[in-house]
Amino acid sequence: MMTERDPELQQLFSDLRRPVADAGFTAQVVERMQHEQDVRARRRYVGIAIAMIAAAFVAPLLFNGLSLLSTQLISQLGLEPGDSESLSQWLPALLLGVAAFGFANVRRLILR
Amino acid sequence: MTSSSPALGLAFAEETSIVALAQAGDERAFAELVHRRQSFVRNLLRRLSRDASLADDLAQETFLHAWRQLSRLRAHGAFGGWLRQIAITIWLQQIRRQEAFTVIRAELPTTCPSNAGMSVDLDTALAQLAPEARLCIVLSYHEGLSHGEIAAATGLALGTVKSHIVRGAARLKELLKAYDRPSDGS
Repeated sequence: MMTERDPELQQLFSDLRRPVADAGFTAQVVERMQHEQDVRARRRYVGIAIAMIAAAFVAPLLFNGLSLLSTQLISQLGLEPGDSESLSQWLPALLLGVAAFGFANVRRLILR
Repeated sequence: MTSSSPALGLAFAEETSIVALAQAGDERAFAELVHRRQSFVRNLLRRLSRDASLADDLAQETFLHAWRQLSRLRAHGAFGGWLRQIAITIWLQQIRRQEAFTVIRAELPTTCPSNAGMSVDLDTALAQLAPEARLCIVLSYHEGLSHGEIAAATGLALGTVKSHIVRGAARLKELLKAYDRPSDGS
């Protein structure tokens, strides 16, 4: 596509196109980049600490709830006594693992 | 004005390689990109903003935004165009946020001081144009983009871009002639 330009204006803009570069500018940008990374890292640590404290409080409650849910599931499945005992041991842990995995992914999506 | 390269080893490398390094999180590589491209970004924003210190602040924002979003750049060779696009977006956000152009336009003198330089004349005249027209004029005359490229970069319709450039250029010449008159007589 042909783009016509006014030659006088073009000359004026060309005359003004001179290099504007200094090491101070680069240093300022790098400093701000590093500061931003520090802030992000600090936020990440605080987030992890909060998540761990919350998990310490929530996990036992969640585990009890999941145990109850597992018992109900096992009774509905109508398993033999031996099977239901072993299932009642690892099913709550499995459900808790799935919940933790889901939480971690949601948190990652939020932080991104 | 100093202009030493941040990393001597990177100074002679191809830009595409440096972009790839920066994408992998190498800060020195990104510093080299800032060093190489700062003139381009700062000049563009100076023409758009009129105020050199504001332009430099926006240029810093542009590079920081680029650093955050660098992983999204697919074609390493398109870094320059991608950076220009970020600079335009940052400038438009600034205009929308503060509506600074209304303040600047209200504060503008009708004529420039007789000892004002060519840069001041042009930047002052540019500041009197509406932001979209100013953007189109700067992208066309300063950056040398075609009308189609400007339409793609700004999201404006091709017809609007053409109209902004034709009317903007005419208005710019009119303003620059008006600035010349007082100094002609002195």
